[in-house]
Amino acid sequence: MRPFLLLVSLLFILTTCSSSDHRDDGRITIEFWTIALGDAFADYINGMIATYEAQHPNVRVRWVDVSGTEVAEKFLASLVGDDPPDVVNAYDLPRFLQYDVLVNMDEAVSPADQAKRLESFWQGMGYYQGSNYALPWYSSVNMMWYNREIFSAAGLDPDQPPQTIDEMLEMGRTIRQQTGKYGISWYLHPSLGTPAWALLRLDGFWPLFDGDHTTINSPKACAILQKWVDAYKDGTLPPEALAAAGRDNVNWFIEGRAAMLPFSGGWITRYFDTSFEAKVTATRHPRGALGKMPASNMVLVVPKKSPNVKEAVAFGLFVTNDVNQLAFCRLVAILPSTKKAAADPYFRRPPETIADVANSISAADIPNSFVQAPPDVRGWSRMEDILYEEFAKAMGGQQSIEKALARVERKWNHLLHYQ
Amino acid sequence: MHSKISPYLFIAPGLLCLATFFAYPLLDTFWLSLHKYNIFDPPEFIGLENFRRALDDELFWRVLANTLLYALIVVPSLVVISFFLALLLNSTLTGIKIFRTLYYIPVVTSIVVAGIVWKWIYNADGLLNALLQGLGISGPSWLADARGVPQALVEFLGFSFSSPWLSEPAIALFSVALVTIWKAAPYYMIIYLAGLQGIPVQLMEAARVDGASWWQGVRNVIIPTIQPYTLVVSIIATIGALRTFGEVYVMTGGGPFHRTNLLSYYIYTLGFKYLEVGYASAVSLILLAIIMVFALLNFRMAGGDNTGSA
Amino acid sequence: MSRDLLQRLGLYLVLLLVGTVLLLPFVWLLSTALKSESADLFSYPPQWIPDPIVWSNFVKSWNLLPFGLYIFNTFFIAISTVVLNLFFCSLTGYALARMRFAGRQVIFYAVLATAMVPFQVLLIPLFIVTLKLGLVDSYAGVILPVAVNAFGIFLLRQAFTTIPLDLENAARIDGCNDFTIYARIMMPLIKPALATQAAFTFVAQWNDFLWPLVVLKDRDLYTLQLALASLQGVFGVNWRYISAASIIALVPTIIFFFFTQRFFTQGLTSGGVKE
Repeated sequence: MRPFLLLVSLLFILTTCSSSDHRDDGRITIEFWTIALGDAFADYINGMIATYEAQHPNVRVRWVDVSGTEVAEKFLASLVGDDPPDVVNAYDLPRFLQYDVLVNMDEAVSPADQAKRLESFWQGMGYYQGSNYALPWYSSVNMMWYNREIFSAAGLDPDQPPQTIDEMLEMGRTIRQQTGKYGISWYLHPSLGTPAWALLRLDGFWPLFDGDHTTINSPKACAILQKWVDAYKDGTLPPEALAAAGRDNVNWFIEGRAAMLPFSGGWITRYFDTSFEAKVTATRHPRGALGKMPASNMVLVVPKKSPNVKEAVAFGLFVTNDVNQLAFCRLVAILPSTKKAAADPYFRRPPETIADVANSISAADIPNSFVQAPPDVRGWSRMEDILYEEFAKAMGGQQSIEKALARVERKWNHLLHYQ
Repeated sequence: MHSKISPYLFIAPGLLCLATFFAYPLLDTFWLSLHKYNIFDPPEFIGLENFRRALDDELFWRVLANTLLYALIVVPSLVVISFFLALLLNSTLTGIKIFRTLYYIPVVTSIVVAGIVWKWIYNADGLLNALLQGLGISGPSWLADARGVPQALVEFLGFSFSSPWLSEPAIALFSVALVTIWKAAPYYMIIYLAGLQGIPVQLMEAARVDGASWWQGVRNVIIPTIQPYTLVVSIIATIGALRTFGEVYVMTGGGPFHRTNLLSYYIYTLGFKYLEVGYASAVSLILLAIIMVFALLNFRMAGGDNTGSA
Repeated sequence: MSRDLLQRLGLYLVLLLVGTVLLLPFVWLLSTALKSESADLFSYPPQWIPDPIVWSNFVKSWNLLPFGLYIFNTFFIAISTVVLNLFFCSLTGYALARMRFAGRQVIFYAVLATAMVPFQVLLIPLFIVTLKLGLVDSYAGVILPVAVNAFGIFLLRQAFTTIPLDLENAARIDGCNDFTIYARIMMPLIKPALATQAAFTFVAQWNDFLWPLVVLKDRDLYTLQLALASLQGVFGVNWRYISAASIIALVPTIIFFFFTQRFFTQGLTSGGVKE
């Protein structure tokens, strides 16, 4: 019996012990989370950290690389559990913004430093009800690839790609009718690509809320979304456009099954073989009524609960400054979010490959871009799901777009009421 | 006889655990259901607002309907199928013990593995549809089809009649229910087996002497005799069905269009995804009430405990 | 004679048929796990025996995920739970079975009542309690809330009641105190019930999914089931890897089950069967 008791108490002690990592040697430790930068960019990140530590001997940076699917949950859990990291490369921002757990960057960052960031990005992903809560980091601006061969086969001039969204949908329809191939490789699921609310913003219908109710149930919104419903129905868009699945949109284009592919830049060319490369051209992303192309932006946030807010913000500013962003952009085809870096001649260098062409198009359109940030309203993640569902039903022909938006309006107002 | 305090010392650790990890959270559920709470901000008392919200919440009603339909499919199926499985395995064939052991395997596999396997089988191009194709039937996308089973059957028979009445349950819900039945049937089979093995041989022989067929023997002798076991099975199966979570999480995430969203899963998403802890607690209490009602109904329907043993 | 033979053959046939339905999914899982990269997973007619049979999927998924760590975590958690469970449930069960004290009936019914309330109802407040106790993201957080359950208390109590009072009285006359009686005499006598409870608890904890999902955030602490569920993010829709990983997760359970299967069938029926 006694050995049994011993075992029990031993187990008890073992299980309640958790490894603790307290401060050592008097330096402040800043925990820095990145998303999936792991092996590929370890040298870059470590180099950056080494430079910072050399400049700030009282600070130690601990780098933790988290996988994309985990980071939101892990971050949320750490915030609830009182042991949050200090600087976090987060996405799914609306979940955190609505709880007022992030440091207000409008207040924490000096006007001089704020002025170094491009305004569209400063008021982008981290913007919530009047203030900005994030530090913009690397970004991408959408451009478009298209397949000249399919254009010719459909009787379209391969040197005249569509300039506007409406033209794009029109040409896509022609391609579908003339060649049987999909017109546009477009993604509509919220987790990837351009969900319904982004389609509205693209065509100038924004904001979606006015005080305590939503404005989405309007003829204008119906008209905009109806275009996409029609495109889906007549096969211009592939049937899987609504479902989220890996790299399908890339695959359809590469296999020559879709004529146009709006995309974030040149890195897709690694999948092109030489014969395919000869068929495709990069061009600017078509514009909607808004006149701007979509951009996405990775950000760094600092939780209010961090024990070292000042040092965390300082480190965050360092990571996202001109020098470091430019260095990052030289390693991989991404774009910066700071003014000086964006204006660097590096982005206007003569292109050597078609990937370079694509990237230079993206870079040139930085001033014409808008960050695809969702509405800053409480409970947005649920609302997004609701919009996706009703829109999907409309796409699938189960209901009219008018009915869909009416239902969205009802459910959104219901949620707003209970927030 | 024994010291006065030692009983209390004995029950102390167990009760402490139960109090901390059961009683307290249960009371907390009641308390939280009257508040608005998102873990970050302090709880805000709102009275019965959460319950009012449930009444108003379309998704809640959808989930409730799903859960009840699901239970309606699963429980009778389990009661009947497990019974016949037990009849089958209640023989003295050589090697019957091996069969009993093998049959039990679905029960001991984790719901994650089971969910993954079945998701794979249910794939639109997966095994099930391949087998059906051999019979000349073109199967639907089992976990992604939101059409009602009756509706699909009507279409299969060649009619193009459609009606909202035919839209429940969704094919996807039906598919999920099938997995639950597959996984749980052997468990209840063992319980029935215990009951069958307790039936005196003389009873069956007497029936046979009277000229009764096998089925009559089953109906008139066996079923009434194992009534207490049927009661146990139906109550446990009911409670189990109403608590289902794993199948939904692994296979469908509540889709398509919330047609497989069950109460447990809804509570989970409310609490952990949307951090609406107060509302989630209210819905939990509604689930608890439903379970108690169903358990009681079961008790009545399966004949009460007029033959209760143990 | 031949009618009897026919009947028996017919029975075997039915048994095999039903068994096939019950176990087919596992066979298919294994078949998929053994298929090579180039083999069409969706071929029609379905290919049961892969050609060629490759083991690389097992190797690859084993390498891509720290299965050794997950198996260790799950094993540690399961064993700890069993130990604590047997200990606490037997203490409580013994007291309820053999000791007389104020409130015994009330406590007994209260314990039984807890079996009625499903786990899901308590999930969120339980998580908050665990959080406040600082047990989130730790082994203890997974183990302690399930260390005691009504089923175990009930089972062991029933087992204790079957032991003749005389044994206890004799021991008391010899001067043993309660704990010694419990430990030296009663516990060894209910070994079958303890084994049953151990088997059930082990499998339940090994397979448990929802609670570890909620409590564990650190990937290094993940249990096997949790890791498996998160595979769809890691492997995309690579069914070969997922199948191989599922089989890796399944094998320990099956092995354990075959060694202890008599406890499962026995445990459920003890108390009512005329053996």
